[in-house]
Amino acid sequence: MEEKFERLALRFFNKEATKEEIDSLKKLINENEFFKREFETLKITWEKEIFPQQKFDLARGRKILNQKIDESPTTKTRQLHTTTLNRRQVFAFAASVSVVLIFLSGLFLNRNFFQFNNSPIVQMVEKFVPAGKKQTIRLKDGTMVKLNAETKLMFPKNFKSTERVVHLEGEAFFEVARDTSRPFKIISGELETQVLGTSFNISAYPENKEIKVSVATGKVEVKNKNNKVHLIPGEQVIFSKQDASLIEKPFNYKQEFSWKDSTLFFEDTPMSLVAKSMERWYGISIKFENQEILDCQLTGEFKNESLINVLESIKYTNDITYRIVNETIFLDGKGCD
Amino acid sequence: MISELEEYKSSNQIKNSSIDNDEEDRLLLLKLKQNNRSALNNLFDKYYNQLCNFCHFLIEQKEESEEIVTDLFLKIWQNRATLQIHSNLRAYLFSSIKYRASAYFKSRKNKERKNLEDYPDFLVSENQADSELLINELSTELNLFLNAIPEPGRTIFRLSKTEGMKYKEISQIMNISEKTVENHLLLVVKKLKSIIFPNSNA
Repeated sequence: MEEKFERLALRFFNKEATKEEIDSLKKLINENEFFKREFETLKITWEKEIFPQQKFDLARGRKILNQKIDESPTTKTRQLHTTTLNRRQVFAFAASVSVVLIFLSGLFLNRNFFQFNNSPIVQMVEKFVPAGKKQTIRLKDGTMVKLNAETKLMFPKNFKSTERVVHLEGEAFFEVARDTSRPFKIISGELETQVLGTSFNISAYPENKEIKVSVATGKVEVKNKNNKVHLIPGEQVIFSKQDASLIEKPFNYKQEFSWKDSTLFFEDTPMSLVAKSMERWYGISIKFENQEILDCQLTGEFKNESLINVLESIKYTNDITYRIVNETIFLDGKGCD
Repeated sequence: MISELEEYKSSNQIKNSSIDNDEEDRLLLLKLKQNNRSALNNLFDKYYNQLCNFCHFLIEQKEESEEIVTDLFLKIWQNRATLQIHSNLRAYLFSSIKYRASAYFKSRKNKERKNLEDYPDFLVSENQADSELLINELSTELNLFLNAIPEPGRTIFRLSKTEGMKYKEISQIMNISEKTVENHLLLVVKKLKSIIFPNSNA
């Protein structure tokens, strides 16, 4: 009898009971004091919250899934390759926090540099994104890195248990997975950026005179041999390769972060820099037929725009004509005041 | 008490609307098979948290759970042309996670043997600490008991309690009869009751 009662009660709690079963359960409870008490204790037992629920970030999950799909061989897009320092090799990957680093030019050709900091058993992986592309990669610790065009990221196949170190040349936005026991370090030339878990952009292209680190969320520590600064969201540090100085300042979010949302952003930007950005963005090369136009400036936001549309914009705002020969764009015009 | 039982009748009907839910899943699955990637994303949104939590319950690794769940959806997408699901979709998803979780344990064991260096990567200390904190809020005794429930009772109890699954669905996932599901549940609940109410002699 008791066994039958328990079975009925359990079916009831589990929303399994039929109408007849509910009726007979009711009958048992009404007619018997013992079952009435028993029902109460079983109910409390059943309703006890016992399994702790974890929070899983859906947006992040989606990102991981869609990245996996885009990378999988069956979807006929790109595949992951590893190692070798062949700059022309195309690598594919996925990521999510934005760090842009500008590297020292000599470093790029120095093969041995990367082995320097790591014992020989550490297997390094290199990802390179060529001009005209952007890629997001997810590291083993869950960190997402979005790499801008002409950017190289090197990291060990397995992170050490004490720290997570990567090397960046070019520009990237990092969303670092939080792990207080293993700081995340990004080395770009002489500059080291260290975080526990946060998102920020590093711009460290070898040909630029400076490296910029711009913070979106969390706290970031940036240092070189002599100096160290701490940044909070909205702050940027500019490292001058020439005199090794670190200068902190607020920055324009759009200016630093729009690239990761597929937007080319210019604000009174001189044509020389516009051209450089466009070369990376579209994987083309730009030549100026009249050096006067280097003084012209461009302001505009181009989200997922075609090269032609951007060129048309330049044409109308600055009276600059363009001519396309294979993959080279020739710009010409009178120049601006 | 009685009014509660009366109320239950109507709530039981609400639960039966899970038929609508099955229908919704069937439609999404159909679209997915017709190469509709947003249908895949819709299904993913719907089940991601549930499945991650279930996987985390089985393997106790947060990041690896995300990995396993996203891998499953990747496989579904890749195999969409040939995919055949006989039970309902939710049961299919949960049983796939169960299968993948045990595969994960096997591969982890092999890996540990092969490469001890890899091991620290699995010790995601922060996440572990998080879940430990939550569990510690419960009485130690309950905690000990829950970890000590032998399988398949432990997983059955969890599917019933947390996912609110019916015996039939659980039996599909665990690959045992409904009767056996009920027997396991009964044992767990009785044991649990005796811990919460040590003086009850029932």
